[in-house]
Amino acid sequence: MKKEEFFDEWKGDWKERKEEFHTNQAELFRHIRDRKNLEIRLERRMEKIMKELSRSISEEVYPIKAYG
Amino acid sequence: MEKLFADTNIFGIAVDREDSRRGSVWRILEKVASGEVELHTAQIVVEEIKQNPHEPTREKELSLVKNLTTEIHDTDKRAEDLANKLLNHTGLDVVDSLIVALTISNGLIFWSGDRYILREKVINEIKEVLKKHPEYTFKYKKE
Repeated sequence: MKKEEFFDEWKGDWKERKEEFHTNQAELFRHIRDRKNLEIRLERRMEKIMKELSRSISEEVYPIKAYG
Repeated sequence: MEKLFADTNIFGIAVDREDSRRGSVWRILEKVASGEVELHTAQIVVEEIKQNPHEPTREKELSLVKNLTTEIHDTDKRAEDLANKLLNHTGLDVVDSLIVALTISNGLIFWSGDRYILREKVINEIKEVLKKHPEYTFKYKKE
């Protein structure tokens, strides 16, 4: 199937399903998706911050211990 | 021809009737369908789409990827090296670093609705990293 035909069909299919997205389920889904995305993002950022912290601690504290 | 690399959220916007950016995303997808614009993405983006818990929209997102993309890029050494630099010198996390690195290393335009990645601060951090790599440029299209 050509890309143009596919996309026309894809949009048409959307119209048929439109009602489904008026339901509470769709609203709930949006909340779950947004919250999940936010959680994943926060988790990844925390992971990165923890790595940076542990690196700076080993760089700054251990030399002091070694010479102290 | 314009060659866009679609970030995960582009497919999410395309299936969300409540999102004000959907019209704009659809207009670009029309251009992709008519062959005016080339659409690329990455395997890691497909994996993120698969995490969508809502089956009907997840399937619609995946069918867009399957039918409209010219290429689904996989990670390679060049992208990994660049992703490590982005991870260490920008505010990007592991996955976003890899997605941006894949876009840059393949010479594509990063098309995203992510308000965090496409902030001036992060864009400048990415450009700063690329100063040491004149072979690369960061081009983007914001939704």
